[in-house]
Amino acid sequence: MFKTRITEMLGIEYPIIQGGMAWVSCPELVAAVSNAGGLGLLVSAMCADKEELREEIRKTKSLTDKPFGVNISLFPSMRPLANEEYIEAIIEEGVPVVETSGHRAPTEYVPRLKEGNVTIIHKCAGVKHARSAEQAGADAVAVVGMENGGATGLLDVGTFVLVQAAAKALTVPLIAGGGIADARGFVAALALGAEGVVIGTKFMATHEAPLHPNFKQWLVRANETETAIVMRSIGNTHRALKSPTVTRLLEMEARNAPLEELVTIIGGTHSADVLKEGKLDAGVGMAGQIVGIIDNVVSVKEVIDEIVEGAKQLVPRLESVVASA
Amino acid sequence: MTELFGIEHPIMLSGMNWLTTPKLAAAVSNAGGLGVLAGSHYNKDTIREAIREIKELTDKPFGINLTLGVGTRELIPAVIEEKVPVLNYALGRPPQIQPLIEAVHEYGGKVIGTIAFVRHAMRSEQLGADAVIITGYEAASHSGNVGALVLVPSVSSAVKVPCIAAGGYTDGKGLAAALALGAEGIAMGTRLAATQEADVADAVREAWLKATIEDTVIDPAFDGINCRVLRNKAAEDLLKSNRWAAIDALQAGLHMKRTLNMSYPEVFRTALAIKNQESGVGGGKRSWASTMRFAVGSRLFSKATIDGDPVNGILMCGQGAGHIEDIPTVAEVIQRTIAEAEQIIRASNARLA
Repeated sequence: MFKTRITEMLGIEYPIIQGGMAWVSCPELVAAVSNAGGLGLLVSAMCADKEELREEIRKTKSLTDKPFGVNISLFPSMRPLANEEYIEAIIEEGVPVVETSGHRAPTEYVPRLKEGNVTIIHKCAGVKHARSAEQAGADAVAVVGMENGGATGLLDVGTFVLVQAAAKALTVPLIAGGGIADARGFVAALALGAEGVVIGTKFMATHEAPLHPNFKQWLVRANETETAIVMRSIGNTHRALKSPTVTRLLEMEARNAPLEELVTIIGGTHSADVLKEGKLDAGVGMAGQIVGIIDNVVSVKEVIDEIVEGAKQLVPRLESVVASA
Repeated sequence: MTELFGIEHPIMLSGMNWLTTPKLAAAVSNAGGLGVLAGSHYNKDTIREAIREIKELTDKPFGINLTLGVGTRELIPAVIEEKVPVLNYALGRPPQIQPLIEAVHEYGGKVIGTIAFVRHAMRSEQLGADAVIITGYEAASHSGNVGALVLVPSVSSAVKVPCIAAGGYTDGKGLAAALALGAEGIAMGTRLAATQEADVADAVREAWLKATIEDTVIDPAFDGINCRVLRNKAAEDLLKSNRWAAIDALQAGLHMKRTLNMSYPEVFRTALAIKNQESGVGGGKRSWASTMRFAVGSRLFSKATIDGDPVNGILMCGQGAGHIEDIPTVAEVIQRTIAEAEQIIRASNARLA
């Protein structure tokens, strides 16, 4: 059921992909998503080197025999990322899928990944970027709108409008993300022309996510207005939990504060404090607007089952609505 | 939504100041949707004429949209006396909204509140509104900063009244998606204004046809509260300049005085009223700076739509304009939207098997 070009291409049961999330995408979470019929993604940028990534991959393999993937970040980074090395580990370990993410196309990595039989999904936030990724050889493209948790791109287009435009512009299958957490968003994304969805924030609110209960409770409590887009002043927009510290960051950005000053808040270890230590005001904790409809912490399997079962009930109901119109 | 208003299709025309006309509203109602005329830029006599004109053009239900607050108080008696079938209000404060809803209900009319946040939707429902229009971040003109994909399910789970999704809807894909998210129908603005029945300058139509989904910008610079417009020369100028000097506002005030035929004390009272009204979307009252922006913005909006200058005037424009590629009739828009939504939902159903 829910056969799309994405399920066929990735060899998965449901077209549901777990977004690669720094500090979050641990082997347990990734394996749980894949075991439940979706596709989990590890994050290479969180690994110091090739061997550390290899460890993560092996650990994931020990937890699932289903396909999973690894995210390769093309975003500007505080420390240079050993992407070529990560890719060697991915190929050597036989990981079937790579998700590259960034504003630019993964052009330089495409030949090696294809040679290694790796399916390439490129994730970006605009139609032009989606098209250039397709031209560069991506097998599928994911687009995320401004509702997205984490990187949002600089164009500020809502997912709803973006998905429709990207579907028209691409011939490779499209995956939609940014604001999707349940059956309603899933069915809507497919109606708009996507063939799969990428879900991040909702998977943070699961038992398997390695996050502090304080942060999970915040996800449950927060409404749709309690996130903000930060780091626009350095061209690296991300959506995060709106805390007093994040408000201070926005003030710094408004007066064009230098990077050295911003780093006192945006550094990765501060994010870890928010997510892992539950110190909600310690730094920038990524989360999407969809926190507004998250109202409980459940298992990964329950998230996916809700989407699948919910869609089974929702779609026939919609059919009766339009049939009577 | 169709049962509530007694219409055939779950599609309504968004009330857009300067852009909706009696003819366009009637065309939408005649095509089985709910035609809505934005009334806030009329006066107490011309609004009555406009309502009567719609009644002459259609015997189907239609609506009037009013942005509550400045200047609209004097329009309300005409709406009530003419027993307009649907009143759609935006902004406003409970002491003004509640008696209005009661008055409309008294003659059997229906009321829709336009909202951009969950808590405002709940307030509209409490005050007695029969339905709410959910304005997402993508929409032209005023909205909050929450995208449709999040806002529509958030609101539709929080209220019991029917929800109508607005902002970015141009075709059957949008309708099918909105229904999936929990809405009972959609409001189309730009899509229904880019039709043969609309009285819009060719230059404005061209601007919509050319726009991509990335060609709009949302900012308080245009009229003092967050407003999405086409990113054109006038918009860039306003975004760049911090010259919100009194001189601009003064010029705008004089323009307002001329167009609305007001006396100087009236101009001042209006400015004060604008300042004191709740700015709605963000809550709170306007600052004098915001008030000035409103005055300047009003003049530039009319330059775009009435003078047909979408380069030097400010044109409200949603991200969905990026999907508009033709100028069909209203009936064509509605028919193909319904047909496409049906086809998509059937295809989804087939996928489930």
